[in-house]
Amino acid sequence: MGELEHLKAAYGFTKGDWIVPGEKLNTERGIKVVRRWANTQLMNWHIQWRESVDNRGLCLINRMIRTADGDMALLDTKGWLTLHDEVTSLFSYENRERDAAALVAGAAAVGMKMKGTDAKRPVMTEKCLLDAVKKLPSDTDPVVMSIIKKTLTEAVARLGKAETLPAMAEEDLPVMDPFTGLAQGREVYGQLFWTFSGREPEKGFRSMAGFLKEYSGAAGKKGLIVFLDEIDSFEVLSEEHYLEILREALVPWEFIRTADKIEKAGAKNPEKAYLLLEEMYKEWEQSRSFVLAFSEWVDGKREKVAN
Amino acid sequence: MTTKTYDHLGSVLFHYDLYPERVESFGKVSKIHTSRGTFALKKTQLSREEGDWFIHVMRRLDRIGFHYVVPVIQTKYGDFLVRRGNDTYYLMPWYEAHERFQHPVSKEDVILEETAKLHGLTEKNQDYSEETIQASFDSLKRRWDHRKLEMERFADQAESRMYMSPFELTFLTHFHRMTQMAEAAEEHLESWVEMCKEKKAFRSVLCHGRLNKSHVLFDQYGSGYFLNFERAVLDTPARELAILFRHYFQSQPWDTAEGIHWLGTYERHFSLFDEERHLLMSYLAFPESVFHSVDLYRNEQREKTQLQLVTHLERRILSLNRTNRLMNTLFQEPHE
Repeated sequence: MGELEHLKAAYGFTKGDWIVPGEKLNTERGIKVVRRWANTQLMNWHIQWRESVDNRGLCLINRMIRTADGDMALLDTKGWLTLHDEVTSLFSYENRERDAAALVAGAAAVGMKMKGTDAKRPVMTEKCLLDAVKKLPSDTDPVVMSIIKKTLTEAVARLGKAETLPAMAEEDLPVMDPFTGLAQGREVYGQLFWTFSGREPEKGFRSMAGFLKEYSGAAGKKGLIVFLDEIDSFEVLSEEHYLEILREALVPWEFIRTADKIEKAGAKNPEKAYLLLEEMYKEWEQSRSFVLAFSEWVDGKREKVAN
Repeated sequence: MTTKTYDHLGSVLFHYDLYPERVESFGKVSKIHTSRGTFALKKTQLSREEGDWFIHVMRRLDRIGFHYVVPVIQTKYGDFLVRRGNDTYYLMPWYEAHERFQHPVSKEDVILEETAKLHGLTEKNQDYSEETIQASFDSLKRRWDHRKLEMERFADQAESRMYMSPFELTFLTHFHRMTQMAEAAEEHLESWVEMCKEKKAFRSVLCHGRLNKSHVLFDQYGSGYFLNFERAVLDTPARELAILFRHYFQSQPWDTAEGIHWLGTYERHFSLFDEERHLLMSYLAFPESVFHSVDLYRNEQREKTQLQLVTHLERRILSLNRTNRLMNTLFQEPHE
């Protein structure tokens, strides 16, 4: 039996045609996406994660569709796979901040209870920054190299500021499916449909800080404050957590990422390097605006409590 | 019945991959027409705990092989319920209710037979605890005492009026009979508690909880399919029977012979113990339905006219008198 026929039989579809072979199929129940899992443990973690988040009744999410036998995953000749809905319409966050805030707070709440993972908090040191620059090819465009070196000084300073903030104990950090961006929010029948990434689970708030940075870039300071107030209203995150988010936002992850990409692009591709630097500057600026707005918001919260 | 837009149901039906072509609304139930068939989507306010219990009941009915149930369809994610804000939805296949059957069948008898089968399949002897029995007795007795007191006050107020209303006059005319029935109910309740204590045993069954004809759909052969197990409870079979009998008493004319026949129909499949018969009789004898008429009358925002209220009261008194005759027949001393 071919892959498609096996899928149709297992999920009880009467009609099914590949849109993208092995990845996406059109059925009488809508378009479905196949996700293959090389790591069964990771798949099981994501099944548990999505079921736990869904249990909070926050919004629709890309859960695993059950087979006709009621299983959440299917084993075929190529290994384990899960089936999901394809939702392409992007969620509009404006004036519906509460829906997305519920998801963010809910994910954090679930993350604080998730067990059975050996995920570690991603750590950045000054040595990591220096090594990233050292790894660049010696014949890298001199202008690119000069920009990188100047930015390195700033990156080290940012890391220094991050390290002055109190860090939460490793065991108190949530373990979550990493946030990958605003585009995770989709919309179906006017409802938020959240597409979890399925990546390796992450400990801590690194990706959440990145998500908030992107939110800040898209919605501006005012929009960010509305969103943060909504998240805060669910009373899942405390000041400790917010300072941890601030710490992660200060860590210059974008510097390391860019240096790695320039290294991979090679010295013979300076145009690509300039594009990457452009992107990094944009992200750098986004981080700066976010950190300012966010720390102001955290201070404001503190004042409210004090008064 | 109304037909309206169904955008608000879209995100719920998404869980079932159903794309409605037409939706008809019947109160809390929406009839969903799709290319994959016709379905009934029920909107409820079940809390999380109530929802979990409801699912447990539906699964248990399936496990024990009780098939006189309209099944609940699982979502594509394997859930039985879909939550949207404060509302909880569940989906069932649409069963067309038949009023005429291929063979002459009494709906009342079918419901009783199937209820008895349900009780038989779920019968469970509970661990005996005198405290539990006594607490049930005390709680019901307290409630009844409170209700009696309320009605005595109402009677006193009515008597002190210069001009009684037709409703008050009707109530006072039959007040003595009501008091007698309340006393009889208490006597049966006491018999139940004494017999339980003597036997040191009591049993429970799965009760539908809100049995009436509108919660049973009949196919063309006269088989009934129960729906709406949202208020199902583990309780004495007497409670379920009392609810069903009260419903029968109020929905059609009946006499002692019919009452005996109904009980016999049930007991052909599931016999009541003597103490359960006493409990059933106590539930039926207590004039709660008459007192309820008074509640309606006293309600300042009442929608019924005086005549409607008097008619309501008279019907309930008539039913109470019939219950009295049924009680006397069931518990008469055997002739020498």
